Amino acid sequence: MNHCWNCKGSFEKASVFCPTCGAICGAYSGDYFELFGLEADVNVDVMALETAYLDLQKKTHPDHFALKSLTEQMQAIEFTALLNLAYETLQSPLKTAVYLLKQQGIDALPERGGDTPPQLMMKSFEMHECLDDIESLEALRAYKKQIEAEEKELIEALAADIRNASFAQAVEKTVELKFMATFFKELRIKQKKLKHA
Amino acid sequence: MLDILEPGQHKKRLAVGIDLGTTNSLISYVKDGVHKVVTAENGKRLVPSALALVEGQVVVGAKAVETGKALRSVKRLIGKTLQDEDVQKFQQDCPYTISNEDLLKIDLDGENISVIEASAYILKELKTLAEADLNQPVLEAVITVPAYFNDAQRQATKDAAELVGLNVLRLINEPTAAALAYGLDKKAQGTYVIYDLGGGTFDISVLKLTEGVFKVVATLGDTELGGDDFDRIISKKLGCSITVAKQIKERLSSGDTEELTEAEWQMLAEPLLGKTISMLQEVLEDAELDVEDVDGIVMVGGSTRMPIVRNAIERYFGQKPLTDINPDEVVAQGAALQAQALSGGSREDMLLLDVTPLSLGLETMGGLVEKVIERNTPIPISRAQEFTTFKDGQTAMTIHVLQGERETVEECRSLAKFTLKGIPPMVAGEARIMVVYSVDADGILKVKALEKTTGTEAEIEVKPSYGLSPEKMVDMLKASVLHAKDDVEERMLREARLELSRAIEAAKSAFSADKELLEIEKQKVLASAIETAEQGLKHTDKDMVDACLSQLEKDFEEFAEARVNAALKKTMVGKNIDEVQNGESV
Ligand SMILES: [Zn+2]
Repeated sequence: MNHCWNCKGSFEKASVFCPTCGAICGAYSGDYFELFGLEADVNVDVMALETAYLDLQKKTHPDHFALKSLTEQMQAIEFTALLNLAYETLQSPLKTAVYLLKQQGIDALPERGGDTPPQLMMKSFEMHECLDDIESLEALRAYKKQIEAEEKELIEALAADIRNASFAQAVEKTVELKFMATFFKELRIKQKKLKHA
Repeated sequence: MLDILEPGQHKKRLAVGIDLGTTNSLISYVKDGVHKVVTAENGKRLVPSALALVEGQVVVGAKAVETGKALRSVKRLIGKTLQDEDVQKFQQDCPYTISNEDLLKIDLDGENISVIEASAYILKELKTLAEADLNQPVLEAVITVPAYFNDAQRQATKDAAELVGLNVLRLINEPTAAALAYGLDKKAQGTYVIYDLGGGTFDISVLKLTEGVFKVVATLGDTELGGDDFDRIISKKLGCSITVAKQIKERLSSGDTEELTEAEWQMLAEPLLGKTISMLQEVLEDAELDVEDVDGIVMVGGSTRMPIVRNAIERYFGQKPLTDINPDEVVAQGAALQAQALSGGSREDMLLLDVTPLSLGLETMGGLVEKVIERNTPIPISRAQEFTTFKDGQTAMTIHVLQGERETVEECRSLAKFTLKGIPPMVAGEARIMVVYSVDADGILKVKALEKTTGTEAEIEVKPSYGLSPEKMVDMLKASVLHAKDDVEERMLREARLELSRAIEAAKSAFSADKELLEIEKQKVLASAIETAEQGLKHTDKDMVDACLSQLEKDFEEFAEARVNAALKKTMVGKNIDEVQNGESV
């Protein structure tokens, strides 16, 4: 049950605005997908997310409460902070996967990370070797395209795992996706080096 | 637009935009859809950000410059400590002694003022100019700050405004303000680069605009590069004074001069121009963009008037930069537009989304910094982190918050170091301490902590390394030289009278327009209410004046409602009431 700070009324369905008095309620109780009216999936409809995000920002950004009471301003800040976090999460398939698994009570990327699976170790080794051998910007771009395609496939497979409730496999793929995100950073550093060479 | 006197509506005052610059400052506002920059007594619109003591009085602007020993560029000191390299460098060229008490202070010929007060003096001068121009109190403002300003610098800027009775509706980033000025006028969309070359500073920002939403994608700056460097290279080459060099620079804008040809000037300035171009490259790389992705370049700062600068930009981007709005005023104009939007209440068509300019992190083992909030995260934002104790029975824990992009504590800026006390004694690793970091829409950080296993909110002792505590603010308000020479009571009375007289004006015009909505008897009552209020203007006690205002409001309440309803019936047929009430009613 949700409670309105303003009219003290309560309401069942998660809502940004109190259904009774219309006051902004910062402590939104729904999940990120509900918030944007999206289907819970790793593959988020990016356009719909963007539209819903902007729509919510237009109604709740603290700027709209600049002349309102301090409480309302604080509520708006609290809500938009959540909104930004939700938006940032759903924009990234990796973060979305972690979020979805967390809803299942699974910590896919524990701080004290477990051992890297041997397969991923091999893959990492091969990819780094490939990267070291690259000597031109063109070759790097081509390689980047290839890795991007692999990443896309991985995201599709991960999304399917979560849909099918194959959570153990989903965790493995999430770890791999995290590894790829780090690898992209290395790619960018190499790209910078080649550009300035 | 409906012109209706609504209860409480008199409170809606004009909010101003302020560009508090390193070299010059401006104050401007948007009234009746027109942007106006307020002029100073000398007819100039740029007020030099300079202070001096003349016969025991602090003077600001051109008057300070005339003394020949003005304190300038205090913006470079704001939110800093004596240990900062920038402050040391500043001291070398500054005729006054800078000391570090609680806050950074400057000895202005025996008058010891803090950096916050120095900025407050400039804001006060601007505020006074605007009040004289508008003939009404100015109490609300949007102030611009550089995108790279950290938490301390933002907080200090807000504190300075508060000292002179300015409520900061929002601090906005300078490049965002510039984009706002262009974006709103032209409904621009796409990716924009803001190239800001001022007198002594250079800043680049990449912004993305979509559906009226501004996002800062990347920023880069150099606080040691500006128009003054162009003067210096001419002076060095020709062996002339800086003043003469400035004149030559001006003349070079319209072609060859006796001293230098345009081609020679181009050659001479090449290293400086090249520096700005390589920074452009860097910032675009940071944003993962190519030159072709950029839809427009907004020129900000007086130095962008130089044709060699404009040409260099045009060559690099393959398109002409935007120069329609006066580059000295474009930031203030954006601030004024935002001030108008914010003070006009909800305007859903305009949304300004800003981001954190610098990453926020925590000190971890070995003096390393762990990022908690990455830079360029849309604000407001809050992040929670969980900690645990590492010793049995541990009841306190120190948390060190830092700002910056580097890996080690030494290379980042310390924002706050505080001790979390009152953790219930438990076995090591059992306590669950949740620390929540929130950055508000002005980019200012707040930290909260909670012990989760017992549900008790742990005592939090925040020792900010900057800014003012609320108590300190009050002390300063009382003690400040700002107010010693400006009778606070007198000012408040003046403001109360102005407010009352505005309300009377509004009441009169509403009354003469729509009095037929009332019965004759009621008309008489209201006419005499106006008379009584006019008498109230003569009171010398502020509270009496305020009481008259409340009485007038009360007397007109019913009439105001009647007018709203009549106007709704007349003009808003087909729209629902919510729509009208949420819309503008200026
Ligand atoms: Zn309510």
